[in-house]
Amino acid sequence: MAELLLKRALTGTGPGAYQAGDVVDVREDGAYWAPSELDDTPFLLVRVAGAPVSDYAALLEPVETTDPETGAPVLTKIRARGLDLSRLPTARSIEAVLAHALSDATVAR
Amino acid sequence: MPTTRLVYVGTDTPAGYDAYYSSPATALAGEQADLDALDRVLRIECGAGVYDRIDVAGYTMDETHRIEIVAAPSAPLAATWATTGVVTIQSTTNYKSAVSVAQQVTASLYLEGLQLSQEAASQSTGMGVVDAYSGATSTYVRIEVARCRLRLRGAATGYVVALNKPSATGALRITDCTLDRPDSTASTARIVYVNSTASGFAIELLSNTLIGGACELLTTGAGSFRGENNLIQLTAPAPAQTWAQVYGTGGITTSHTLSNSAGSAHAGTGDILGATITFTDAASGDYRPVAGSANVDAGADLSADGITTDLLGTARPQGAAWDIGALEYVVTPAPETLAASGTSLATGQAQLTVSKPLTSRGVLQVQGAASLGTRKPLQARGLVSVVGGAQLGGGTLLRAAKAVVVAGVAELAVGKPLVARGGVQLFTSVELHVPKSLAAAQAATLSGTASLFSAAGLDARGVVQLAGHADLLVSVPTRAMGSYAGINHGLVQRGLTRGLLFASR
Repeated sequence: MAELLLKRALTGTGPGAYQAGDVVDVREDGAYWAPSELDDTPFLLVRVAGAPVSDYAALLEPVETTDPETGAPVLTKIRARGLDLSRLPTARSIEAVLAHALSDATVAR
Repeated sequence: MPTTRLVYVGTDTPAGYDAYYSSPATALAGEQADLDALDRVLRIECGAGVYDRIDVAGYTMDETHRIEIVAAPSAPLAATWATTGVVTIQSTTNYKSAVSVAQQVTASLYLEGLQLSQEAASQSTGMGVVDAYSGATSTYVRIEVARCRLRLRGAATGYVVALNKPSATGALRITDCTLDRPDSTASTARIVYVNSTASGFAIELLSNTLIGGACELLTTGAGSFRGENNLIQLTAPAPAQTWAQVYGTGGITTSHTLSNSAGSAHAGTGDILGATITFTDAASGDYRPVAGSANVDAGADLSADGITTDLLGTARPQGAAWDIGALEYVVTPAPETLAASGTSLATGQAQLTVSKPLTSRGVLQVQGAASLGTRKPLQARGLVSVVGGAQLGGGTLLRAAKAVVVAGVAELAVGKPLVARGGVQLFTSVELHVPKSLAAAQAATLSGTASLFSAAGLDARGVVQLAGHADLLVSVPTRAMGSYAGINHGLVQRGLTRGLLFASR
């Protein structure tokens, strides 16, 4: 199982700024996360069952060009890919589905 | 006056921080901001550990609103390149420096107390341990590295510190550091490289030890350079001249350079050239001088530059004058007086019993399985650090002008009052027994599974903070001019009323 730490919103500036939905780090299930990384304000932690960390390495790749003078990589975007946070289920939406399932309305289904 | 946001990196959560992260990289991601707009300094204190490389990116900064990445008091540097107990930030990837600000338009970065390493077998031009490279669009960059160990492995090109900001103003200031590149002899194997065409760019190298490679410094452009008290030992055969590749129209000033090169392209007062240099144990990165070294008492007084200690926190000077290089030669104290004017260090299986008053002017460190027992008052003007399985105890007064830090499974037991003007910090698995009173002029902090037992009272003028599974057992009189935090306040109040404070979690 992999755990993905996502930036919830843009707070930085310039090409090094994480956009909302950018993956900051990927760790194995059960890895240590500090209290601020578990804070829902700056981050969102997504746990993915049955997938090794290596499956998500591409989500950590930046967009870079090459300095013509030195050959060194030059960052143009800190992450090439990001997640669409609006498409992720939230705890509240799951709770709503569960509540609906437990309600009388679904008994006769 | 900017406010400081203080965050901690590590696997524990000591009290007193605004936020907690598990790595410098996630801390930088979580704290990304326009520091100018927030009127903020971001200070990241790291607990002991080996951390992956970092890009300082996504910030707006200036000289005042900077990012500071420093070692926490619980993780002081060791005399050698250490694998545990210190803060190491390292890269194992070519083209990726351990610390990079390459993508910043504006950058102001301060590093202190860290081991910074590039471990990749092959390095490419421009990359290094610390770099601000390829950011031709940057307008301001200031990098200050104080009391750090920097090491660049690999036999090819690359630099320990590299700045290629052609149009940027700002500064590079390196003080009390060892900069080491042990594997390369190529003519392009330089230790520091700065390319700035801005006339306002200032480079200062003060009190450093630079080891290996073929050239200590290459500068180009219109900036200025000042180098004093630097010890330079390039790979033999050393070039004919030291400072041979220093160029710039902004002024070049050097003094008190000790080098194994026989000449200097920019000679200064107090230079010692063509020197044979012997270190305590260069193979393990221990670049402390030995008795009789040419650099001892041969440096200039740089206290006006704000430099007061060496790489290990030892107060300068230790002898008649400042030493050249990052490390002071510490005179072994005479047994009768045991006045340690520099760092007092007991490691491994060493046992030291002191029956005379002991005064430590620098850092007092007791590490590993060592023990230090004192029967007479112990006065420490610097940090008192007891880490690993070490023990510091005795029926003595312990008076510390700065913090007392106890970490690991260490024990600190003193039979007389403990007076710490800089606060008392106890970390995981620590026990502190104080049969007499404990007086802390600043915060007393207990975290992890630390325990504090005091039979005669706790007098803390700052906040008493307990975190994790810390225990505090104190009998009367108990007084805190700050407040108690992190423990059950009801228990505290009842305890005070009946003259006994006992708080468990």
